[in-house]
Amino acid sequence: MKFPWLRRAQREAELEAEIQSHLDLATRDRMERGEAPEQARESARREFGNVGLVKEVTREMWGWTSLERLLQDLRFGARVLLKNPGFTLIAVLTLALGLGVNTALFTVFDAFVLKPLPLKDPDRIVKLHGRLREGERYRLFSYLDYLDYRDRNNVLEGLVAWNKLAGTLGERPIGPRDDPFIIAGGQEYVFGQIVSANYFSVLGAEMALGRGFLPEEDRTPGTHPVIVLSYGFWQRRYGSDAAIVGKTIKVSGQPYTVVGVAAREFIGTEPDAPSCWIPLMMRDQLSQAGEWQHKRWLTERNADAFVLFGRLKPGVSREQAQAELSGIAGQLARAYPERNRKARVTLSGAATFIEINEELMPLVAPLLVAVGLILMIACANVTNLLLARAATRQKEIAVRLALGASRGRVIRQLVTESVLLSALGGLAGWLMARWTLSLVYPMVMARLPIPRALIESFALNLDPDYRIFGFALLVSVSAGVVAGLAPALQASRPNMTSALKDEGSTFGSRLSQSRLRNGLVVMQIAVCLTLLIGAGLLVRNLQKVQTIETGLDTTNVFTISAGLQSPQKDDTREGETRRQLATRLRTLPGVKAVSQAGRQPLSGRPNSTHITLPGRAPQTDRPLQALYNVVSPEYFVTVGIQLTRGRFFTEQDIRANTPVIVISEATARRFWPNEEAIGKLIGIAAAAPDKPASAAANDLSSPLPQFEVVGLARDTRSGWVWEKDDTLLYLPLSAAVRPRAGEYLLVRTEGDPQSVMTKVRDEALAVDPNLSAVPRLVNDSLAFQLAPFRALAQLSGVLGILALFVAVIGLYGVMSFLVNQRTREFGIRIALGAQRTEVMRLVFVQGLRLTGFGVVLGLLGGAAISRLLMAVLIDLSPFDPLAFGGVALLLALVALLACWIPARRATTVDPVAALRHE
Amino acid sequence: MKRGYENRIELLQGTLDLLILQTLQWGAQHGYGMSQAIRARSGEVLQVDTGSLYPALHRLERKKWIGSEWTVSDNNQRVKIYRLTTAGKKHLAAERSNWEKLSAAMAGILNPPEPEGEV
Repeated sequence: MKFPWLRRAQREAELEAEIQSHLDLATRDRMERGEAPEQARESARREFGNVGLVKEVTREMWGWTSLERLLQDLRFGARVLLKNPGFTLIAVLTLALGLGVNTALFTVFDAFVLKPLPLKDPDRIVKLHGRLREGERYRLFSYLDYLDYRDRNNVLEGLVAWNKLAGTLGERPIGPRDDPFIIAGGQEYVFGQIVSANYFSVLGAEMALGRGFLPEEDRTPGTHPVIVLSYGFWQRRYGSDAAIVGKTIKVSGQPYTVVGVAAREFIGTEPDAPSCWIPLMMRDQLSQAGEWQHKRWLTERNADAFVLFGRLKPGVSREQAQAELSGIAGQLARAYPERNRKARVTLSGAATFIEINEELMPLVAPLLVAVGLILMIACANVTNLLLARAATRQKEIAVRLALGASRGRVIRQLVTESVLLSALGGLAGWLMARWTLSLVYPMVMARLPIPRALIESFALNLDPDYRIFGFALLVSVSAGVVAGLAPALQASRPNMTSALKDEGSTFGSRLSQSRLRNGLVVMQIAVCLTLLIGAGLLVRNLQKVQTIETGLDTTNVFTISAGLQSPQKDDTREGETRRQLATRLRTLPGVKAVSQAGRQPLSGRPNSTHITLPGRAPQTDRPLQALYNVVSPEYFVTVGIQLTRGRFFTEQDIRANTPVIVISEATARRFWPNEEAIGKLIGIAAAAPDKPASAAANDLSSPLPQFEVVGLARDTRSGWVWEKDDTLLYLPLSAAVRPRAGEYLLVRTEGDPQSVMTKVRDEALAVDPNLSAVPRLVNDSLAFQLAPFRALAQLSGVLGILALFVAVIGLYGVMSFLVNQRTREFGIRIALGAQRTEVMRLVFVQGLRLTGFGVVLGLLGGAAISRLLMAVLIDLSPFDPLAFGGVALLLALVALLACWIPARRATTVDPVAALRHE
Repeated sequence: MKRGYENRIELLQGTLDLLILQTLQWGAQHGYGMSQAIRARSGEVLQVDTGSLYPALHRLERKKWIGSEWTVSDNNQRVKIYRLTTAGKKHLAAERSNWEKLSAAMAGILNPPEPEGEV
């Protein structure tokens, strides 16, 4: 079909020609009858009549096709929108914010949670989680256990063992255990995975170049230094070198031959996609002497070094597999009672990056709710605006009906306008979503304290998600249509006279319509308040967490992880070097105290051990447990832990090996609630020789070494900042049997620790050329723990402000319109003698009533949201008065302002002008 | 109020259509020619003015009862000629019979038969 306006133009031209030919014929006839040419022409024209009018009525006969009608409507709608730029801008902006933010957030959510991974049959892949007898999850398995699980099961097609690796590209860095979160200058880090040889085949990965791993590369340690690169890493770092297969790459000082490059879409099972894969038999070359289970992972059943996942055999259900694997776990626990604490195995899906379960739901639900609420506010806003505006056009609609437009036509046109607005809003929303994802997301990630290489490896596909955008657009377009339809239907009812007389805008405005509008205003206030309360709670949460009492004084304190590099490392020698280092450091200027400890403060949950209390029967199913740390006497001074009763242990105690311990007040309250704790004895498994700290409960045949409590220390949060240590035992260094005791040195300095930190390495080398020492500020650990809270608080702050912005605009718009409508009424009242203040009070009361309803509903909503957020809130009452009260007050103020300003404007108008106001 | 433009002699719309179709029955014709023909054949009683004629022509064309084409007249003038279509012929026959029924009915009422028995 040709463009309608072309056809139309053609018709116009034809009509013109036809009329012209008529005139020519008439003229000719007259001339034949004897008239002069000029006269003939004139009288022919006169006889014809009004050419324009004839054209007009003839055109009417052509009618319009529906497409032409649509175009007319669109043109008209566009003109109307342009004539009211303020209104249009507000509506489009509102929709853009609502749609755009929603889409962006949901895209991120989808990328992490909903989108299935690019693997073959991802639903058949399962991750294994060990569960301890006490129910705790334990993700790591030892190599020997892995072999047993692999060989004894009948439910999996393949079982893969893997773990993450962080190394340097090039030479081995200095330092036994470089914290990958502290980037030493000049090092290029690479983050990859060590995997069993069946990794690629179990996941069904394709290779872009070369091959995956062969089974023989997975048999003997240290024999096959091969590496597979990820596509992205190969592109970024090696410029898509087509001849890369066969070349050698050095990782942490060891050369590896490249045997393959994975396909572009293959990124493994984790959101932080690895840059490369290395067979797990090369583990010793990648880790270093002194590191966790170096060399022991191959022989010790207790050396938990790998994460496991597998592919279910066809026809096997997850429950079946879980039952069988748990059975194997039970067998292993019985065969190796001290070494195996896992009671059973559970499986979780690996089809998406994160599987939502009951644990994650409380974190995710509030976010989804918030997103939905924002969309609701946006739609309510636009609906309100449209309704408000439609009422102004009653007169215009009535006139059009009077001139002959059909009702259907008018309705169609109004609806087209609304749809046009929604479409514009949708377009703006799409742009906003793209912008948010491409600009804001990297900005947010850059704020988190993780290294750049790790950020780059996040292989998330963050194109705005079409599904959610489409859904949101549909919602907003529907809202637009409804908002356009309702007044259109009502306004075009053939009751024209009253509309023409403009009575509709004073006292006679239809009750149902204004009720709808009022309802929308109330809802907007309520929803916005709910959101803001949620945001407020999260922000307050962050405040609390940041100022939370850890019980430690972490300013000017840093830790050093020190260890010997030599392959024939000897534990006693290592302990000796550490002590020497500590002694040397004490002599440095600016150093206040140096101590040693088994665990750094604020680096995660402390270790736990079984304990026995003399006089109480040991329970076999749930033995007593306590958290503990092994420390030197100056530890308390170094980290600032206060003594409340008794004494700390001393150097003498260490030398004499006296079995004394210090416990936290909470421990005392727990085990000896109404008695004096000092002087009591505790049997501690961690101090028992030749027994791992977590012996199986059944094996309490030999009594545990007893320690006497000599002092009580103030409670701390020494692991995670959000977890109070409910029990904590401080063991003296001498009591420790595990070879890793005292591996961290802690140093407190007078002033800025940086100057001392730089000297650490030299001091270590002076003690022993093989001794490496890496310093780290304790406050950095603290900041790292707080980072997600900060991010969450910021995000919610932004969302809250967004919601506030959108709601304020809508509120102001509607309320000021409602007031403007009544200008004539005010004029009459004032003319009849009412005071201006009385009139304003009238407006105010109306606004107050609406606001009041909205606030009440909003507070209820806020209570609901705070229940959802309880999982994330730390130490904060769910009805925190500041969050609730402050926000409610803010919103109420805004709403009242939105009433006051237009009311004032309305009443300051000259009554005569107001009376004439249309 | 889309009732179309009424011509001066208060003819119903359907009647004008009938006139046009009948005129075209006699042969294809252009607008001017049709108005002259109707005038002539009705003895100068029915003068259809252009404001009625042309809308009617376009309306009938839309209804596909008549068709049009541009040709060149004997005097080398470009004219738009209308002609009756098959559907138009059918419609014309139907309208004619309606018209005859109507006029017979009208005649029956306007000229009642003489009552019996009056000499």
